[in-house]
Amino acid sequence: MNLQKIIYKTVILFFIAISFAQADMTIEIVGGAASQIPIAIAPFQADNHKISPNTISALVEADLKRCGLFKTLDTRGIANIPHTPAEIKFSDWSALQAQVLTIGDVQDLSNNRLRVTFRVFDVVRQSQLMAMEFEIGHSQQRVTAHKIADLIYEKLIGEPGDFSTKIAYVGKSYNKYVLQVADADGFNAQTIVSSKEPLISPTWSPDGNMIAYVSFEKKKPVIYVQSLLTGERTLLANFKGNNSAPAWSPDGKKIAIVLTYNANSQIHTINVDGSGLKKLSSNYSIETEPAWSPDGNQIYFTSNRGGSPQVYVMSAEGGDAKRVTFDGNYNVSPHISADGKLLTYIKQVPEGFRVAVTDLQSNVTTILSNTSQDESPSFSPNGRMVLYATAIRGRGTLAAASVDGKIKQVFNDGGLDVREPSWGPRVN
Amino acid sequence: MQMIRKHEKELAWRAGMFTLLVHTLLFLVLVFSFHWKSVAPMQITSVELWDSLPHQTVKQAEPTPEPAPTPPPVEPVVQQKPEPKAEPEPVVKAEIQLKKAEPKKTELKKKEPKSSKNTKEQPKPDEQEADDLKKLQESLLEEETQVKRQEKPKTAQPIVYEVKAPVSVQGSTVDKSEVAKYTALIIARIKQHVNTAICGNTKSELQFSLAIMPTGYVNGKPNLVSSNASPACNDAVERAILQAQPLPLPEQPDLYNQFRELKLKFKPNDG
Repeated sequence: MNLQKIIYKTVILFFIAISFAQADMTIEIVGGAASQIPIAIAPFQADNHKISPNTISALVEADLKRCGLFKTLDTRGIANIPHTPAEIKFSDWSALQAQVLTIGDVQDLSNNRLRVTFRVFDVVRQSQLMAMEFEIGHSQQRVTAHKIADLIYEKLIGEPGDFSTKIAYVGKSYNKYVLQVADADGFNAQTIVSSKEPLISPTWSPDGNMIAYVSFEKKKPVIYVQSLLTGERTLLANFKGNNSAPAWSPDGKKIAIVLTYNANSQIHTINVDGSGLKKLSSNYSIETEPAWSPDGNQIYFTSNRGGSPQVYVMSAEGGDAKRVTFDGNYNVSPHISADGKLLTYIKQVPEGFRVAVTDLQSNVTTILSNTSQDESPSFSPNGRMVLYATAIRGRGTLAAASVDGKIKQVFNDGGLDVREPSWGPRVN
Repeated sequence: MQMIRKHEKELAWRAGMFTLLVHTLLFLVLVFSFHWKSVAPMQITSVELWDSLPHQTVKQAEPTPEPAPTPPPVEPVVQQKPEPKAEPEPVVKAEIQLKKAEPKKTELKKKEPKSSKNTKEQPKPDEQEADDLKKLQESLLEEETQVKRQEKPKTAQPIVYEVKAPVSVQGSTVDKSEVAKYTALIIARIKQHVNTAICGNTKSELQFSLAIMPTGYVNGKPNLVSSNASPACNDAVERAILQAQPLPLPEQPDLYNQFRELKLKFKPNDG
């Protein structure tokens, strides 16, 4: 009995204690005012003057800055740039308001290779978040920098980064058109196709190994599929009339295309091997620019069936369509983010044609660009950025913006008049 | 009879020696323990408490310029302990308050922790010692208050503020508007560091519990109680809390006590 009483009392006391403990003040903090992580990228140390010491760290910084989720801090005010953990004076970096610090080192190895080491620190908690080492060839510095940026991004944002992905676009110089593939920052371009006739509408296969595009080499638009691995290409669609606007399905098996053999341009799907053509829309209006929903069940497209060009959506099997954009008289070139939640398109505003992003759940629209002749927007694989083409002083160039519109970047065009960009998939 | 007496005498002698020995031992132990305690690092909590005291005292002291250091300073110390016990009378408070002037923080700090130790140990030594200590402390207090008055002619406007916030010694009537004010300040301070882009797309909800020192710094680290967000979001919110340090806190101990243990609920993607 005594023991029971004691237990009884203890339990009661315990609950009393808990009730007191729960009397702590609770403060609810809804929302937030920050959208960027303040990060300091200390220039990496190189022990050899032959190597440009800042290359890798500068690229990492540029990548992180470009995506809009990081506020890269100027490290020039720091007297002693650390390269090893022991050299870090956290007070310097917290004074700079940095939450995160990256340090690194590039060593020239005797076998004509480089050893790149980097470490990421949480400045607030003064702890190391990650550390890694790469042994690379001299030509791999750019790739390595993008890889490091991806790793930092994933560590801090919690989703994969897209800095190592590729983009495709069409460039024109004099009387020559080239289809090029480049790094996501626009550098390291390689020509895939070169033609005297126009090339347009490159689109990626989901595995990143193939590109479908439209060529005018047969004096009318026809669609080719080309392997990036072998360079081998096949004619996908050469039907009567125009063959245009290819869009690869998420499962990689089909391609949505636009054909005009029936007078008006209508949306079709076709198997990658050119078989199984299926007509999805049948209207008196013009239907074009198909874009797949990430689940492959729906196709967004542009139609003027309501009088003005607007974005509509229909089943990937065809049938009735539902209008998606209502605001304004001109909304074209849809593309859907990988999570299916955001729609980007070109919207006509009083200032011209600009890139817009609409949240399909809340229906909130943000205009990302501040230029006036924008075209062909496409999301990065993680949906955090939009790549598009614009015209600056009459010349086509590539640009990218964060989906909140806060960060915009114009790419180095490499002397080309650049159009029709398409962001490639993330390939692991 | 004689034998017995003799025996008694012997016993008495022995007993006398023994008592002497024990007393010396006790005395030694006392002295030793005293020294040991003063050398030993003080508990953080006691330091904090003393830290919070001065402000309050300063404020209240000025309006009522009667330093009357009559009551023993032992009480105030007790009162300062985490739970605001009811023992101390307002007068006592006033005294302590007089002790510390804001500008002289560091100096005072040095002095006061000592006095706190003294007072803490008073129960152990006999009353004489305690009395001596009290007197010593009182004289110290007087000195300080005098210095303060000389140094602080009329910069003490917070008095008005103090009057506004009637903090009862019982700790029951805490000015709610003050609590609301500091709650709002804390929210604003932390919110500016909460990153909505990382926790963005899902309806994430996180809860942290933390102990806050009077300095506004988190004691230890924030403890993640619950979260349906990604690890990156959890980390980002924790960084936001830490980067918001020092948190704005009321100076009055009773008000501060409301904020000592905080639960922070975050809904980064709402609003």
